[in-house]
Amino acid sequence: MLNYAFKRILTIIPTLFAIVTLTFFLMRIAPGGPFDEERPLAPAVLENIQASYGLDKPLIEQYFIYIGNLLQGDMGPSFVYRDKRVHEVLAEGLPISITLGSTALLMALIIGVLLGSIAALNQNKKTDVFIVTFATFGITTPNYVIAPILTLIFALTFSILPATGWGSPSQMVLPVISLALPQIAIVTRLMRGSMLEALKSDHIRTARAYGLPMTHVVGKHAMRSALLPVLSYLGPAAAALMTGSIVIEQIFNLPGIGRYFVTSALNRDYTMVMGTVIIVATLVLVFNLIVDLLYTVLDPRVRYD
Amino acid sequence: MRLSYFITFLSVFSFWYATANANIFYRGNDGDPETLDHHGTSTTSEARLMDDLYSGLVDFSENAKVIPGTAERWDISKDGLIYTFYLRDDAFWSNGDPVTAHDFVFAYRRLMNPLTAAKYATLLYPIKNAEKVNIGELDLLELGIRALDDKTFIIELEQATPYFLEQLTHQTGKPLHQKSVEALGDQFVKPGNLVTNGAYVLQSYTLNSRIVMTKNDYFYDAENVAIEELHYIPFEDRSTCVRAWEAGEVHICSDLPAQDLERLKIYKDSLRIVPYLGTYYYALNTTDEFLSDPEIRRAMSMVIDREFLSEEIWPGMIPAQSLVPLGINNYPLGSPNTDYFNMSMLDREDEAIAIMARKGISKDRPVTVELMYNSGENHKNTATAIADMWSEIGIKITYKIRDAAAHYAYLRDLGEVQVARAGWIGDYSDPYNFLFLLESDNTGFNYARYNNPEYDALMDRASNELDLNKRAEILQKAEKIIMKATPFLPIFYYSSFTLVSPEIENWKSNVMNKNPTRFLSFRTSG
Amino acid sequence: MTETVLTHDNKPLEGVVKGRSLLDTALLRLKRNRAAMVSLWVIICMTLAAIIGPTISSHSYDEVYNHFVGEKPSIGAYPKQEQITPITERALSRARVDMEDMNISKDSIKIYIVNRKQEPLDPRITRYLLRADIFQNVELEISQDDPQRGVISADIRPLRFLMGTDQNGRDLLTRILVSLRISLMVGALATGVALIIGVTYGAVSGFIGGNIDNLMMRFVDLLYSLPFVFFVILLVVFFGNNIFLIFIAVGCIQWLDMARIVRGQTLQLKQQEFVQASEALGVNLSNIIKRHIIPNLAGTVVVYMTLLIPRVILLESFLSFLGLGVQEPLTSLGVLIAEGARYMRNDPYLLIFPALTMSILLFALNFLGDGLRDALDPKDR
Repeated sequence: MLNYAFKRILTIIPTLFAIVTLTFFLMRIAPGGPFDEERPLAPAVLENIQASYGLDKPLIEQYFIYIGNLLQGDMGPSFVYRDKRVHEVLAEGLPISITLGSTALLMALIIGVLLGSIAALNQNKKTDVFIVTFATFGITTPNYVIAPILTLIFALTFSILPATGWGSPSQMVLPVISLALPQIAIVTRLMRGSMLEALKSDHIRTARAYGLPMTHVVGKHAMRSALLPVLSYLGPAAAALMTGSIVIEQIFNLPGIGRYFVTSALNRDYTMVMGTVIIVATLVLVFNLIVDLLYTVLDPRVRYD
Repeated sequence: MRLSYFITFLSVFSFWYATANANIFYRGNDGDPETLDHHGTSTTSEARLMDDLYSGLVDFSENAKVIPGTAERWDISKDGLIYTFYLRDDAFWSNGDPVTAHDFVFAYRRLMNPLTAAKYATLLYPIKNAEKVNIGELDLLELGIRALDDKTFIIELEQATPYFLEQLTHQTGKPLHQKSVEALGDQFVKPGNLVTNGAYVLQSYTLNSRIVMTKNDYFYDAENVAIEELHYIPFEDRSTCVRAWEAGEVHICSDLPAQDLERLKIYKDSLRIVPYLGTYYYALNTTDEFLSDPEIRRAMSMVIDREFLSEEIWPGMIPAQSLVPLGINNYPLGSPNTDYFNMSMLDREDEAIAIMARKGISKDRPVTVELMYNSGENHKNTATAIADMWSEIGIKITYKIRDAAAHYAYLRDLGEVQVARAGWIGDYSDPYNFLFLLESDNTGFNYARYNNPEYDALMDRASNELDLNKRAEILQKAEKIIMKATPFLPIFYYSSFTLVSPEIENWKSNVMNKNPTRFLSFRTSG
Repeated sequence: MTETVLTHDNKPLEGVVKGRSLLDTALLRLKRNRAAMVSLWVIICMTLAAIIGPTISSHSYDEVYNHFVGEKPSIGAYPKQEQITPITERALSRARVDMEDMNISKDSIKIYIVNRKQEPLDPRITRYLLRADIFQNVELEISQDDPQRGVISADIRPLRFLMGTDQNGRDLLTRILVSLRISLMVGALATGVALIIGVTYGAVSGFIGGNIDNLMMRFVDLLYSLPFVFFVILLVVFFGNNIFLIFIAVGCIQWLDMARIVRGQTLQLKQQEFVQASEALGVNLSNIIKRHIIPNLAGTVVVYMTLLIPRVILLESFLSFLGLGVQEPLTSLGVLIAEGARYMRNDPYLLIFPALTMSILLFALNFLGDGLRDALDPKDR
């Protein structure tokens, strides 16, 4: 397994390189540049600025300069935050995004697995119908609708939670819930499905026929195999949380990196776009690797050589 | 029962609530600055920070009038070419160093240095040789500024410029602490490094979260600065700021979403909607085959019911009847009248229909015209309503909607753009700052590609005229020409929209939308 | 139920027996699932509404009613009794005439007017009333002895805005119907593209196997790690306002899951006797894939499709929130909801109706998808 992990890590590097190259050139085909703003710049000034960022050099030369700097760990200066290098900007926002995302993911997992199991154990009863309806609702409602409604209720009407900002635990509550809700819903549905299947399988039936207590059967045996599909959903879930955080950060004014996803592309902040893409791609690649490795631990049938 | 658990859980949480400190002023801003180096700034949100951090030769008063700043007085030579500024003796940097004329010399040379790549260097082009220095044709030392001694700073102009003092209020005219900038390079803007001479000094800067400033005890007017600590909070989304304001998390919202205005009226005096020095217009490409006909452009302007737009579509904006906005300085006679604005909407429509009919165009035989705007709720609503009005005179609109960067890139290079949305906020209060947009050699801003030698000649004459009244007359003539030719089709004068907490005193809304924090205070009555 | 004998003739025997019984049982089981059947009907109704609704609606989706900007939903007709006077007054004040008296009956109105200026009345002023959306057959009778005075008579034109009007004064119901059309088209288009690419890619990869399979799947992994939201933004920038091109592109991204699922299934199928038999008989690759693999994948694919459509619709709404969705004057459910969310606290109906429509549609698609999956699940047979 160590061998497998090592091999996978090795493939991450060329993958990243391909992504970087693709993004670099795609970005440059887009019309407009980082200095096309509502207030246009005088042509002389524009020339000065472009020269100061090396944007007047041929594209291919810019590419090699960029790659060269990247290999030395420098992602270049941001075009929109001129006082900071891109990696500084991302380093400021990343911990916040990771805290937000991982809390939401954990919440989605715990609540989703719990609700899904409860629903499965009460198949076709009222509880089941209620949970399934809730889950479908969570999937069908975009979080840019849920988030303002939650703010309206808890921050503006009852004034028990802050509406914006980041720093205190109370400021995390609404963003995390809004971000996690669709994922809770999806995990719930997945878990319900796989738990139902697990409960029907032969070894569970046997265990129950032997008269083992239900809690033991579910907790120890059914749970283990039922968790596998949920586990393989973790990769897509992480990606979905990243997408969701774009919306959530905007609505709650959080200083994470999700916002750069959209703003850097819209502002043609070339270096920031590259930085964001690299960070996100690395996160996804590493996360998928971890999930695959976990899979081998949980499912004895899977072997990687 | 479960609900009550939930509420208990939440109230436990609220103990951790980041309690808003009563003595801190939380000021919402439109966004984070691109840089805290004022030579790199360009936006109004950056200008707010700079106005609090620095004091220029002249500053804005609480009403946005020009008042003495670091210079306590100045002389202007008879021909209007030489400005001599006498700096106050009690002007100090936040580290205790005195502010000298050399700091200004250093700052202005750095501004014009091509290597600095300052975005707004153009604003101080009236200074002698500035343009040539900025494009690298002349040495920095040739710039028309010098320090006579530590406290006397002299500026020589290219030609007399009646609005020059107005221009100096802009952040590009502010000084820099020479020693720290030279010693620290581009690190001088970091919290702890940044030395400023204004009412406030930078404490910390967390991207997308807050910029913290505290009162600068070395500021010459520090005894009259009431607010001790100031947090600028950037809001990318205006609705978010409104929610934060309503939850008491910020004292100020610097811009408001149009759809909330009606509802926000319940806050009475806290909602400030005042005219703002700017014009929202559509540029009509005069080199386009169809739009090259001034009669057609006129008909298109005539048929737009601006009152309806400002009542129903974008509440708070002011119907525009000229390119130069209301309340501008140095324009005593105001903008010229354009005949059709006195006519009833019906007559205007009939005349427009008649004009189009002469060209063989009517509602049944429409011409398709492409309208480009950058994405945004208000731009969209306005465009939809105007397209509906144009359909009456046989102009069928197709839309081209782009993000801002692409929009302005297309405008600059003017690919195949026919009609495009644009707007202009005055950098300083003078009609020239609006009318120069249509000069034929203004390749960057003249989106209509308007070329009229008569107009250019008038603009040149105005630049050489020292007498403000005569100059205003010439500018009015020039504006009359473009209102007739309609290369730009003015729609609204901008308004500024602000939410001001009732806890804040002395917030004087004004046409420049400038409210330096040094003049504000907390209401004491409780 | 009637047997589907049609497909009998020219197919290999084993395929027919297997396919028919599979399909029949599945249909039978689906029919027993009430939630799924209700969902199916809901989807059919909504699709029909999307296709013919905008055409039979009395309003056009881009028709602007200047006097009814942001009207609340109402079953009764507009104008409301209390609206007639202000609308009339506004129209008259634009015409620069004063009202001396007015009689309103149920469906007509008589207005006695006098010109503000010392001039005879301009007969064109009737246009102001026509322009006010609520009048038709407007006639002005100028008084014989005082040309400054006159009587306007007009019929009141009833307008119905069952779901109110939007911020430009357009009928929300009609816009929802159009948006439903666009959202369904976008969903179907992207899903269709994903389907074609995904099924072909997955089937080929799974069937060939070995190193090529390995390589093809590595490529899928690579695409998985692309931050695709970013690429969609770029595409929007490239293609400008062409939403269908964008969603072909989205389809080009969404095929990844499909490819993985199909590959897995193909690997299993490959072990089955009938496929191995045709291979042994020398049937060529593309024929095996066409004849055996793809038909046997139908179930999985259909289930996946019903689950992919809602995802694409949600994705479109996400793009709309960022301002990158369908462009004016067209609209989609996502655009309407994103706009409605902005007006949530002022005119909640602008959010509620589109959100409800989308919820119902996505609920139905989800339940149908679940139902189909249960029905096609071979383990429960």
